[in-house]
Amino acid sequence: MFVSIKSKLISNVSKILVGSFAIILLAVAGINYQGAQSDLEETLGTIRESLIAKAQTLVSNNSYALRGMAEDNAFTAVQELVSSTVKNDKDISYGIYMDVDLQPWVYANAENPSGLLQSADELSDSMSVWAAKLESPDFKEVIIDGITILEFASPVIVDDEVLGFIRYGMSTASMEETAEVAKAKSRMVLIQTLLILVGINIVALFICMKIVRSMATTITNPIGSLNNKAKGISSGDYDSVIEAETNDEVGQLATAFDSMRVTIKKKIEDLATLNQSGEKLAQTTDKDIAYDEAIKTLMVHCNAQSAELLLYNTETTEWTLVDAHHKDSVTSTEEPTDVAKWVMSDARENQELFFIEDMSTRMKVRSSQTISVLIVPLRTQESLMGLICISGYKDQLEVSENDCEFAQTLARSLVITLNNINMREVIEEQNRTLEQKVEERTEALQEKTNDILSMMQNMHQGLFTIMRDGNIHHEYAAYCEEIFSTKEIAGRNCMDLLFTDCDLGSNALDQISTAISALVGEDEMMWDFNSHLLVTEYGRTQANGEKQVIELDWDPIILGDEIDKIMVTVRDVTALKALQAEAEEQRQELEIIGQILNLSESDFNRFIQSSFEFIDECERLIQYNTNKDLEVIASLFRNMHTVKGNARTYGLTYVTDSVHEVESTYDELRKHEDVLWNQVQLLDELEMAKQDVERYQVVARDKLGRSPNGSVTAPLQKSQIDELINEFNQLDTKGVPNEVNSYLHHVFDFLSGTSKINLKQTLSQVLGSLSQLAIDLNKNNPAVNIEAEGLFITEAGQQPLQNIFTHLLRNSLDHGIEPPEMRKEKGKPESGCITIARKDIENRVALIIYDDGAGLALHKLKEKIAQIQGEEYAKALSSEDIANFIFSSGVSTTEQVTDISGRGVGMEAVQEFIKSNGGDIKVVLDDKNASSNGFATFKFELILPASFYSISRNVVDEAQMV
Amino acid sequence: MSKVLVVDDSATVRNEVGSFLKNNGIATVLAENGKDGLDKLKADSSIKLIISDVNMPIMDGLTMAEKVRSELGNNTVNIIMLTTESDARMKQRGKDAGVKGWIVKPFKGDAVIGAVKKLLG
Repeated sequence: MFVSIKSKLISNVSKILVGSFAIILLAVAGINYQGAQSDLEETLGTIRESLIAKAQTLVSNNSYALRGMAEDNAFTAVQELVSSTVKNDKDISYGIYMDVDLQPWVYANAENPSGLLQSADELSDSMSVWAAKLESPDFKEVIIDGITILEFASPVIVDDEVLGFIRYGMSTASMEETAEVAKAKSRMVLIQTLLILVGINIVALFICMKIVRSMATTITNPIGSLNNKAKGISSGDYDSVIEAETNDEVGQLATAFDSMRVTIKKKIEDLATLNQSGEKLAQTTDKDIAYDEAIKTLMVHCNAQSAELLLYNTETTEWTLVDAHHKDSVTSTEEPTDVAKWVMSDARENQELFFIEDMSTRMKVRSSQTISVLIVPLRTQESLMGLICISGYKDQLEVSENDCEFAQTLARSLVITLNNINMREVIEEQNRTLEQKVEERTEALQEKTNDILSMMQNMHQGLFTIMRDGNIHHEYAAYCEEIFSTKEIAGRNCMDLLFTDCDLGSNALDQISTAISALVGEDEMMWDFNSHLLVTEYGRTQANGEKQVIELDWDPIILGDEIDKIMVTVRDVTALKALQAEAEEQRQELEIIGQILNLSESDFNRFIQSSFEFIDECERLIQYNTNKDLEVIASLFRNMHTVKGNARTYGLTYVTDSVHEVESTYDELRKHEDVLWNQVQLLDELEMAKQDVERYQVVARDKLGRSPNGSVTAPLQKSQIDELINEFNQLDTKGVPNEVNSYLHHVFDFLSGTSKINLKQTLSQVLGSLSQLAIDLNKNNPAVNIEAEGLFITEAGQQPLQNIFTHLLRNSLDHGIEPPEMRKEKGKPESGCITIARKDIENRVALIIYDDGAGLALHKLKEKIAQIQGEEYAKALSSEDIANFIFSSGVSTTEQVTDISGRGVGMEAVQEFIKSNGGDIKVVLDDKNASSNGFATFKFELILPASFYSISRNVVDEAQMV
Repeated sequence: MSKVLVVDDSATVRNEVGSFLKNNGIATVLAENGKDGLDKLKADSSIKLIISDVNMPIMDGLTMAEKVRSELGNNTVNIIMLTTESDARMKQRGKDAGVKGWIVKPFKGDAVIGAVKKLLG
């Protein structure tokens, strides 16, 4: 709330005046009252003292007067004296005379002026008692009926004898009256004094108020006018001069206000100038115009004689004069002034605004007047860009603080303008370069596009991209049209184009479709997740019904982190596939030829013949049996197992696979009850195996020109040769001439040489196949020792023995001989050793076959037997009986069934075959009493059928043969 | 250690993916449906990746993904859908819910492991 200084002044001064007057009044009244009071008391004291003096005189006079009267008992005289005394003095209120017995003689007062007493009763009041004790005159104050009485008493003494006491009561009433009158008088005086004082005060107060009012007006009026001026300034009036109307502080304030007005006015004008220049600087794109504007403005502002603009090159540290103006000359000079030269030579970097009051202190100045110089730096944030240097006469150059600020602001504007112009030049340059580059790029791009289009038109493979909606981009290789025999490709759904009439199942197609959807538009990472679902080869049927094989490559086109498109490369590989198939066929044929040539013709023919026999037998067995019969199946299995073993031994790999398939089927049949007997399927499968065998036969016939029967149909039948040899053996050649004997031996050798070979030769195929087997089993190739001197294998025995040893040796390597690491642990050499030794038993020739492997796992065999035949049965068997169970069907102790040897059935086939030819094979344990709870080393004892061998009569002959 | 949450209503798939990850040294948490998945995710802050089936009873995989973002406010966990189907509408829903990508069944182990390790950092 606004309260004016004037009213504040008046209100405060009034309060002070009223207060002080009130205090003065109170003080005067107080002093007056105090004086009147002390005067009164003094008067009263004087009255009292005179009263006492009068009464004392009276009493002592009376006591003298009464001496005689009392002595004479002059009662009446006493009475008259006392009563008259009381009567004559109105101040005495009573008078009493009493004897020593306190018997009053006179008691005079206002009621009883005579003092005569009706009865003379003894006085017993306190005052009487007090008086009776006195020995000299005295007085005592007593209050009776509200009036203060001074009783004066004195003994009446005659000759040292007290006769009585005279007493007078002096009333103070008159004294009181006197005091009251005095009091009233002084009160009157006080009131009068006060009234006079109040009157004077009111008059003084009034005058004071008048003075205060006028003083307040005097002080506040200039402030008010100052206030109005200030309001004027604030509303933009800078032209009204503020004059100092008084010589006091207000006057000073007015002066300050005015100088402020002037400063503000100048600032505003400067600002306007700066704005104007700034606008011009901002608009110009020409550096020279900018230089001109800046230095001209500065020159005019500072009232300088000349202004020069120097630019500094930070790299070369050189100065250049770029613009200059001089007040006296109209044209700007190219040459720098001396001042500018000095600045250039003496300029320092990182210089602040710099004023040199007298230039002659720095250099030689031609002018007779004092020259001042102001150097204004042009600074960017990092470095010095240049200087504006203005010079003029010291008394004219305006370089107040404001002017310096002005110069700096202008310098900043100039720097910004120059930077902007530089920037613009850079940008324009860049734009020009950019345009040029864009042009070049566009050209290159055009060229590339043309190349790509031409490639797309002419390349001999399909190429298109799949867009985010699963449709095909309109740019695609023209060859696609040829592959898919359609022109409807652009914008078509990729699944529709690629997979119409294809050989893929609906599930596979669904996966491809989902995978494409989960790839396009998704994170790059998704390619790793899902691209495996995109097929790379499939078949389709063309509109004309022809089959076509299509090969696809899928590649992601990545944009940012996303798969933008999928590029699909399509190749029609139908012809290629056909060629590949043909080449594969030829390759296989070549391989087959190689395999055939690797064999002797007779071995090959024997294989073909025996294989057909086995397969035919199988065919018959299947045809004749409509229901599942385990024994039939066992026969089937044995047959095919033998064929497989032979094929493997001879390295006829294309037979091995299909035969193995068939064998596996039979194995499944005999092992699992739930596998059904399906004649058609079994015959079909068997047919496949047969075709593979036939393939070999056809190749041998067509490519190698071999006759189907080959050496088997030799001029001499095998039986005839055997017969001849038999006859020869029975010949008694003793006594035959040497020439004849020699000739006969020749014939014998010839016959036996064509038909008999030693064991090693017989087994050469089997032994040769062991090294590959060893590799397959990760074992070392075992050493095979054959100790069979003088033993020759007849042609009849050759194939069977090969079959038999295929089983025995493979079994030995597969199951008997341990892996090299295990052998090493056991302290055995890493390579195993198999021994085949001749042993003659009771006119029969036997072969003992053994290896240095782990031996037979009797405990496992026993378990197997217990499973098949029962626990009791197994327990009753001897170790050797258990060992011989390896010849039983379905007994195999290996954990893993292999296609090499591991089903145990092979042994059954072996034993059966040997027995049917009049031989025998059994297992003989090295330690007959070996425990059946572990492994036991053993030997096979193979008693050869008689038709399988012959014994050389001559060791030398045999040596010659080897 | 960062964990992977495997959500699938088929115990076979769940266990196959789970044990597959485990054999490759990645810790897993298994859940039977979307709701179960949300609960498991809430309870275990070390889950940094979710591999989820789409079609599931009670709550499907996409709804779960949406709730992971909106209800749990978890915007850091990566989500990958394991699916047999994927169309534009589903893909858009997945994208809106911050689904990192789609693996189409049958998945390829090596690629999944590589990506999972990459996503777990």
